Amino acid sequence: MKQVTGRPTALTDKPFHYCPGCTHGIIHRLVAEALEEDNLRGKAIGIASVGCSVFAYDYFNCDMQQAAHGRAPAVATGIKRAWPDSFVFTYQGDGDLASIGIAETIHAASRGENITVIFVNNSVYGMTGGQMAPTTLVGQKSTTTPSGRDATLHGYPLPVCEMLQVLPGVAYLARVSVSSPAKIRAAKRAIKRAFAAQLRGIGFGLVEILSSCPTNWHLDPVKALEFVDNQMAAQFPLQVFRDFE
Amino acid sequence: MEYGIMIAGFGGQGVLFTGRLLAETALISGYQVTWYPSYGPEQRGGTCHAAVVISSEPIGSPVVDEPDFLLVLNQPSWERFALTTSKQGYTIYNSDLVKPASTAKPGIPIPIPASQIAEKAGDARVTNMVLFGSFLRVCPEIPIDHAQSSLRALISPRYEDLLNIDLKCVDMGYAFADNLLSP
Amino acid sequence: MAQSIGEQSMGLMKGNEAIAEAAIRAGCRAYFGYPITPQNEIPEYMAKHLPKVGGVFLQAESELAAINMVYGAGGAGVHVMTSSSSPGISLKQEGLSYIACAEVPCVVVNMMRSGPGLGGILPAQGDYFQATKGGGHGDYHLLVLAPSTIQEAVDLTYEAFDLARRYRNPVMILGDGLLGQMMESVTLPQPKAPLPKPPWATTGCGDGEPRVINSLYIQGDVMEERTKRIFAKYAKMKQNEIRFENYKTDGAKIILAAYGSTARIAKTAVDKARTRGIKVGLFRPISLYPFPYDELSEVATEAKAVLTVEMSMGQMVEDVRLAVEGRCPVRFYGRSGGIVPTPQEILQQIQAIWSHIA
Repeated sequence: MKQVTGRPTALTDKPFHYCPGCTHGIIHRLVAEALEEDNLRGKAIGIASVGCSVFAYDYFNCDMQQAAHGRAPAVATGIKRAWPDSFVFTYQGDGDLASIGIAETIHAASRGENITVIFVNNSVYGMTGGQMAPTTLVGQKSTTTPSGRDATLHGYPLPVCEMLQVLPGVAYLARVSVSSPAKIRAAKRAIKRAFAAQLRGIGFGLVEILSSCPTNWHLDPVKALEFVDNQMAAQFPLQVFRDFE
Repeated sequence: MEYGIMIAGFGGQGVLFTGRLLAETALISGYQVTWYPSYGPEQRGGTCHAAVVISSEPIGSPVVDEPDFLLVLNQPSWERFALTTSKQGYTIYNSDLVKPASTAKPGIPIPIPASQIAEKAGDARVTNMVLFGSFLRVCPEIPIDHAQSSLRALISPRYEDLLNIDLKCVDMGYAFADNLLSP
Repeated sequence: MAQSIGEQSMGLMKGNEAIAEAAIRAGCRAYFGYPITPQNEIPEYMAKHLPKVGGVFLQAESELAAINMVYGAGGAGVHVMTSSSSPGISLKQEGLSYIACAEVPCVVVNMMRSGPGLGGILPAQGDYFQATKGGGHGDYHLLVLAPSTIQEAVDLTYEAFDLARRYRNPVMILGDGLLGQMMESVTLPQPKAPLPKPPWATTGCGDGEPRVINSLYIQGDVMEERTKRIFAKYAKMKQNEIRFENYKTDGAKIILAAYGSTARIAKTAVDKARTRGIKVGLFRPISLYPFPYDELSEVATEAKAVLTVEMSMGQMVEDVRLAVEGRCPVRFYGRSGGIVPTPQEILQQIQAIWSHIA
């Protein structure tokens, strides 16, 4: 019998700790496939952030550094500046990147750091139990917005890609989702495009990936994906914001 | 031998430079040297000072609290430092700008009309080099020819005009102090 | 002074610039920092000179970013350094805790200024506790070296990169505004090539086993093992890295204890007191962590009193008391706010003690 698929070599065989229905697993796989297909595993250094993906260093089968909350782009900058020929990516959630680490994100983008940022946006702090994130939708309930996010009290969801698109240092910028097979294929194309921006040395690449959190949203996995499509994508439209020749 | 020297004046009067020149000169004269500038808010408009210690032994404190030589370029520096000079020390000051008001004895006072002398040398602002020249007269451990070669080393040849005025001011300051101290 | 090959007598150099040059000569090839007085000459010197030897200089967007860039580059096996002054060093504490736990070598220079708060830009020694007791969260220490002359700052900085690599631990050079801003004549050591990339560094694993630089150990027993491993290194430091200087302590009835800039001022006070017939000497810790407890204890055995002098309200004095163990009174004299004690002030303290014990 012919094997038509398998585990990408850029993933270890350690079972994911993610909750059932969470799309982190799909996104890990897409990143690993892109690393493998571009033959990058041997020269890659990944940066794990703080949040649900904190254990990413156990799953990606390449050199990894685990960073303090929000500081992954700074850690990536240190490595990439030290070894410009290496391939450096961060894997961050929305609390890490858009809240505590927004300064590092903006300045790495503004400097045009030749790094790739994988930004997983599921609109809540998952690891700590479902608190409000900067990306929580208006009206969305969380453990720290029990009546739903009220813009007059808690402000508005932070549109990271829309903010970064004005910066000339950004080479590639896209928002994708993984809520259907077609969208998963588009997400992988975006990741490979962001990788290409780094490989060609033309600047900062970021792919925002809308992701589901059935556990903290209190929805079953299918309903959670519908929430991504109907609610999140309305607030965070899927789009390529910046591309290169 | 160990001397503590304090140079004080307004920012822009060449206080730090004079200290640096003294330190470099002492170094080529074979002494150990420390140079410690004021880098505080004084730099922005107030008085500014540089403490230089020269010694034939390794130097402990770079802080000069009782100067053996005090060079005073303006009135506020007189108010602040004049009474700190040691009993046998010299207070060399620009008598065109400084009016000694205190009755206390600031060591041995050496009044130098530095603005007038500097003007004769070509630039009334170069009072720091005049006082430095006078200092060299009362501190024989630092030979004037070493000071001249340090000046040449510190000032870029591009500013030859300035260098020549500086050298002239040093000479004239030295000569004035020499006259003053001659019996 | 005889010079060996490659050494270079530089004439007068500012403390900050001398430290930066010594770092480059020690093989430092990456510097990340953020401006703050009174240490700005370090990043400025690095910006000008590090690229000439193929090194990286980057002005970060914040102290937080700077220390995490240091973590990244240090984890990737490069001799890396940052510098700052007190408030900026506070901001780096989270990063230093991660770096110590992840066992990443790096060199951090703190040119202390007065505090707390934004404080002032004048010299102070109020960061002793922060520097020597950990500073950030969790169980760890930095290896802390406190030079008192610019030459010593050069020599310790030159060695710091090797020490950081040997112990896989951050090394702090603890100076202050006086040391950073003053000029003194220095002899610079021979430039060294950076040490080769260590096997644990994350530089891309090729076909080999992936490396992980990490400070997260979620299971209690694993984290305890990690902590013990780090503390085993501190035990080795205590065996090998204790540094101190005894100055005229033989037969001294009063022992001054002071470090860094304050120690050199105290030295002048000792000399002045000696000419007045007062039997006084100076004990100067050079390594502040590990602290020379036994060595201080030994010189204090014959003393009638110990006087600790600091530019703080009294921090190292606590370690001095631990070392002296009550065998004689430990007095304290400190100035803060950026006021540098004068030799005369310290002499008066010595004379007051002497009048009681002589």
